[in-house]
Amino acid sequence: MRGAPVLPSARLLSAVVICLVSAVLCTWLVRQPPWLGLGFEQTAAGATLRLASVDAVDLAHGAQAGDSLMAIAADGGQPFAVEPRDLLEEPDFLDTWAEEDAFYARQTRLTEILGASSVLLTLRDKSNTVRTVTVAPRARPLGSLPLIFWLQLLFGAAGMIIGTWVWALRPADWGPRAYAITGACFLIFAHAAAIYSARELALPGTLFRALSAVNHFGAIHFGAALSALFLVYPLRLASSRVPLMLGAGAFLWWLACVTRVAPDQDWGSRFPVMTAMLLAIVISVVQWRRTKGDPAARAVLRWFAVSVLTGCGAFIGLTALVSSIGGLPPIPQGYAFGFFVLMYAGLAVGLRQYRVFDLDQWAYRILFWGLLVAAFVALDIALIGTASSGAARTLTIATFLALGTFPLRRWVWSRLFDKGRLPPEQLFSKALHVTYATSDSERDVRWRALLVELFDPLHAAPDGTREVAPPADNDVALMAHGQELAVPAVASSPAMRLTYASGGKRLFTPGDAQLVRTLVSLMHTANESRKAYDVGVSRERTRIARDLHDTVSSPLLAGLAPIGEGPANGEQMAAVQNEIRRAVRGMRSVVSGEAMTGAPVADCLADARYAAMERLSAAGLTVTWPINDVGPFLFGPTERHAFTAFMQESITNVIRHAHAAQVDVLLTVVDDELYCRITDDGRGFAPDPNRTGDGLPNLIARAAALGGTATIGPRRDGARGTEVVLTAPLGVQADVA
Amino acid sequence: MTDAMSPRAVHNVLIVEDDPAMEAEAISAVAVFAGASVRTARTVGEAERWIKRVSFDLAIIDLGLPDGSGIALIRALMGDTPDTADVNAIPTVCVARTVFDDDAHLFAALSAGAQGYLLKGETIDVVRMRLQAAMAGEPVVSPAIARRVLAYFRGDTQPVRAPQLNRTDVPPAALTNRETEVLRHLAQGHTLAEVGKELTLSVNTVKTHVKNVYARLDVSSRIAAVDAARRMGILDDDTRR
Repeated sequence: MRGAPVLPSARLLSAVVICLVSAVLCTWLVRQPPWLGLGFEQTAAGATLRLASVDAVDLAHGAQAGDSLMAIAADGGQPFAVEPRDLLEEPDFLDTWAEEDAFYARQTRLTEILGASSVLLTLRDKSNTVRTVTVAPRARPLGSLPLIFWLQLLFGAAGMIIGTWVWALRPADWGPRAYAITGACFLIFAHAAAIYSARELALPGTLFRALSAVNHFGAIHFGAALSALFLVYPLRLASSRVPLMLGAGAFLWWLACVTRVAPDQDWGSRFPVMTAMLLAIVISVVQWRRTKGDPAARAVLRWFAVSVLTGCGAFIGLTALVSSIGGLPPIPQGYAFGFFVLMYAGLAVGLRQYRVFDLDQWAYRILFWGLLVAAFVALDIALIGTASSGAARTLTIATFLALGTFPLRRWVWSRLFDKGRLPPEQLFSKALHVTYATSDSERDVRWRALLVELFDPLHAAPDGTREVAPPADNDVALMAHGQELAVPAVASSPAMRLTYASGGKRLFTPGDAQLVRTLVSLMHTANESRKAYDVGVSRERTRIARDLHDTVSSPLLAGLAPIGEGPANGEQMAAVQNEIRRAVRGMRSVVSGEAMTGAPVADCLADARYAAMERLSAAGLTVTWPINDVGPFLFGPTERHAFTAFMQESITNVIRHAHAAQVDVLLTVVDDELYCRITDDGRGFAPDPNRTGDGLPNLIARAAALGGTATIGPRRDGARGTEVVLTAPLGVQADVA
Repeated sequence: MTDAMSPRAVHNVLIVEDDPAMEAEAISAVAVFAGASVRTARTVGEAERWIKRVSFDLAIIDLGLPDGSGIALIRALMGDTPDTADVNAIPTVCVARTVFDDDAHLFAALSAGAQGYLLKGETIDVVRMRLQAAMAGEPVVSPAIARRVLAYFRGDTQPVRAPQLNRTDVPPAALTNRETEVLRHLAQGHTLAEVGKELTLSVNTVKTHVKNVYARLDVSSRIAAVDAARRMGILDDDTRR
């Protein structure tokens, strides 16, 4: 069972808090021994302790820079001769346990003397004159702490924060874990060393020894964690048990050192650190060979090895190695800790280029945020410090500063961290905006942008390198206790996984999931209607193509058909024009959609009557055409088109061929059957197989399309003229509401 | 289809048409009015310049012009704009000309005051007859138009038929019983004369009914009407495929 989810920002903040607490603790501890106000320098011969600086108070007592300190004594006690070794920065530079014990004993003795209300200093000046000066030890002011103390605090904090940063973003991976452990160990050994290296003259021996043990603990485990890091990163060379065993081994070795089971300092503290370092080098060589053929992993490894091995190697070469062959490091160890910071900084920079630990540049946002928070906290601590140590005037200044920065920090805060959420009323238009993108890739881009706008995640996968498995049931799901939000595939976009909402400062909530669910459903609906629209457009195009073929191209082709040899005569030209007119009418019906839709039979009869009357009148014919009630029958699209065409063509025939003066039209419905009779008093019907202009086959075809029959022939009443009769069944009736 | 009213004399004719062949056809159709002088324009802008200079008896206006809609020209000719308004002037008889008799165009033209319309591709006989009918004050009224007008006044919101006109937010004034009767007969395919005979009304009365109805097609406010027409144009552009 996993614990409660932890945000990267919370992890990073914890690291910041730990660093601050540790720094405060170190500062408190280093200020415990009473202070004389002296600064020392190591003489070339190393024989005496020369005063490099003297506090103003002690200057008044007669101590001078350049004097050598010979001995100190409690008021009324025996003088205790001091040695340069008492200032040794790091007890690890001693070689045997006996030397170290003696060192601690002297430290204890010195501390006791400093505990007196006044201390007698035996000084020798440059002219070898020996004199004594009485000094009252007092609490050590913060300002007297040397630069090297603050640097070590800072170095340790930097390692810890950078290590935690990487781990906070990938807490489940072994690489970042091992890396974070090195950072924590670095904090431990740097801060422990900061205390004793910044002492004026002495710390209580027991405290010193404990701090040294803490320092060893950090150093040994740092080495083990570094080896473990190369074991699992970039390639995983061993199961997770091996790093744990490394850790256990380091712990045992440390115990052997603390309990002095180890024969001497070399075996106790130097060899384990160097062993771990060698191990790390060996493993990195194995990594190098195993990453052959994987340029990405090699690039990472190269950067990694350069950062780690130069950082740690430089330190170990300078300190552990030099002291194991019996010398003192050329620069104080505290400054040498800076090499480790190079390593952490190097990896932090490498993230951008090599995606170390699979982190991308988005990871910098959370680090930036953490540092900003730390800056605010540090500012507050500084203000509190100023207020508590100063007079009423500084308190006033501090208050003004605090109040003055309040609007600034509020502004920074709101700009960086409190981005407004999208108003819900915009959701629909946003979803539509995504759905109606012109291409699949554009749709994908817009969908991703919308999710980023809504949730501002630290990371949105897939990012071009990794595929994301769709969530279960293809539903929106909160993953890893809200650290991730799984988004199902939508339209043309693949499934996505959003990591760390609002730049890693909050978890995804069920509300977020519901919001995405709503969006996805909106997108689905919009997508369906878009598809339906596309299908509709495509069908409409098909419809138009078919209708154009039926209504426009066939008359145009008929008009184009060869008329015969020689120039066209007037009648032929008229026939061609008639075909073109038919095409224009057809085009009109296609555009208006009438070619597709059905209509009441009564409306079609009315339209046909109006059109025919107009044309016949214009041609100078008299018309009788009674209007009959035809009932609620409907024409389908085909029947409608066929009927309209039948009427138009019949009237055309009358106007063009019949030479008539009078036309009688009867249109009625008898027994669910349409009956149409067009009678003229023209010259009569003379079938001529060579003439196609009559469109007689057309009329028959139209009647067939209506499901009926047409006859064209002489009038049945025996009078002169032609009679066209159409009968067609009427099936469909309109719903009588 | 005889008319008691004597046809109005035709002196000046304006033909607004961007297609040369269609322009030629219109000129030959106008020859039916002997002695009429014809001016032609290819664009709305050209036509507007003619309108300012000449008082036209008849204008044949293509609705789809390169630089705008002929509807606005019809409005201008009907004395809608202040600078062309002349109390004593008899309004020009406007005939709209179009390839497609889609509702938006035709309805907008009729409500703007067009007396009639010509569909491109009709025979010259039909075109001449329409022009003569227009000059005789006969409103154009096909069964299809009658049906649409009836639907409009019923307040039908059929999306295809006349959606734009219902967007003016002003409910159309109701038809009188007589007007409804006239439109119903026209919708069945009757001519104006036949409707008069059926309802025992004079042809002129029937025409007056139809014109009254057309005048009420639009909203009462003229400015709103112009806006409505403009909106129709926009919608028309959007829905054209």
